[in-house]
Amino acid sequence: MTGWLFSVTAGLLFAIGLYGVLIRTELVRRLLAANVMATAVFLFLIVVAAETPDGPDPVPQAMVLTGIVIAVSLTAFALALIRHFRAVTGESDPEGGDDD
Amino acid sequence: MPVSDLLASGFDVLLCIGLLWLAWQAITGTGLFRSVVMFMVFGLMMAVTWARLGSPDLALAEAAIGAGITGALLLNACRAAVSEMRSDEQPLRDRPSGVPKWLALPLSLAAGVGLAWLMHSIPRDGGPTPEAAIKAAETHFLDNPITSVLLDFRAIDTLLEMAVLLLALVGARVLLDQRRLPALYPVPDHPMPMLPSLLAMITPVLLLTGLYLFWAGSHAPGGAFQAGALLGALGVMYQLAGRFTPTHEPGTVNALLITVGLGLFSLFACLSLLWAPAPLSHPEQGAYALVLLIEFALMLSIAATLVLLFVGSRSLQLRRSTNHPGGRQ
Amino acid sequence: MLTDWWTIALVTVGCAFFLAGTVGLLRFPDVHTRLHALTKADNVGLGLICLGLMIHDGTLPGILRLGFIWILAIFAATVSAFLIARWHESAGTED
Repeated sequence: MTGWLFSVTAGLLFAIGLYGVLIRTELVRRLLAANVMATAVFLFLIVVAAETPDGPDPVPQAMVLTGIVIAVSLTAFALALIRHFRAVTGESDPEGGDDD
Repeated sequence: MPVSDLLASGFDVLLCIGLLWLAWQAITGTGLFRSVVMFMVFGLMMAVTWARLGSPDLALAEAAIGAGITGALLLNACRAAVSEMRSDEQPLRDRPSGVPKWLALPLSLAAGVGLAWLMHSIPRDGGPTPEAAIKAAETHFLDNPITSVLLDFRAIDTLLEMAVLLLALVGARVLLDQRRLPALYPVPDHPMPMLPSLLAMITPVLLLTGLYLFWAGSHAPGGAFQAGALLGALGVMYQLAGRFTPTHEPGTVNALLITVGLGLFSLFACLSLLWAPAPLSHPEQGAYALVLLIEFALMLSIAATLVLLFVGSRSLQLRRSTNHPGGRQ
Repeated sequence: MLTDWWTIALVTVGCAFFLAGTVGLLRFPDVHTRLHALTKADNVGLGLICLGLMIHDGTLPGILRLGFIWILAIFAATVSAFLIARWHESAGTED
């Protein structure tokens, strides 16, 4: 029951994240959506780890722990990239162009 | 079904609904600040979820890193977005993207449901880890299986992870330097009342908790990452209270702190060839002390790197320093 | 057995405070009244829950830890409430 429930939640979280990446154009929001997708993948791994017959499996847990740190460093780098982009173009989304 | 099981299931359902609702709000809501706050609460709910799924290590890391540091970074981004915007630009407006909603919604739903079905159909007998590795983890000199995976079986992952963390900092510095973008937190003109007293109280508590998590990591939930994130959060608080001055001169202490983890780990990888055929193997004697030393270095580097990523300056100096001349982070 | 009932009663009342605080947070009109609602949930609600759990735990280290959690949360709530109110004053905007 628990595994099924959290698997479905992870799938839906992935869907929400992907939807956000597809439809939002404002860059920080897109980054948020990508972070939600990453969290969904972590959740998948941990559901598999938790359902292992003899106790939680340490390897996926260690992978996710590594993943959380990587995710925060990527987020920080992407935010710097966004500031840079805004300083160069004066726009907060890449598809703005010169239409205004 | 016993009452306790029913209650637990009910809690799980609430948790899942909460997660989905928060994620939806964070992504589709209007207003960047609102989205960021929703995302931070989402991170905290994830921490509860990790604890519920039997991974207290992850719960600690998620609460400190996923919700805490990421949230602080994103709030910073909100500030930057407001202060660096051209005056004639609409505040953070969203243009229609190339992908229309009627296409994006079924597409992402299909991807999510497909993924869920796929993951659910993975056989659970034995799990992805081979039997031998689980047995080895049980007799390992580190009692916490996750720490033994991180620092022994898959030490190469951790080594590369430290490299990614350092690379992210260097990359962010290069980008911000190129456009001469200032550090986000200039020193406030007048220090906020109350913050110093909170700092005075919280500093020993966070230091103690961080060092405890570091120490406990070898046999209980905790370890270098959680401890480093906690100390990083302390550094962020120092920055917010105006106790750090961002400087442009690269400081020796700062440089040492951000590289010591990767440096020591790489040195260990090279030296380990002296006593083992493969790099990153632990010696027969003194392995525990060695792990502690490496973990301590990792903790310092993680904390310092996270603070510098938050501030976005080249280095920091401690103001009105009483016990650490020359800058702590 | 009696201690269990105390625990249940205290935790339930604590949860009621949290519920009231949340309703207040959602329904009150401006920042100051919302902060007022929040402090009820944080301080009293958490305090009652911690007290109930202390009775349930019964060991000295556990009691000390729970008490410590409560004190830390109170300190953090005080400062964050102050900062939010101050930010609200300085921003001078509506909500």
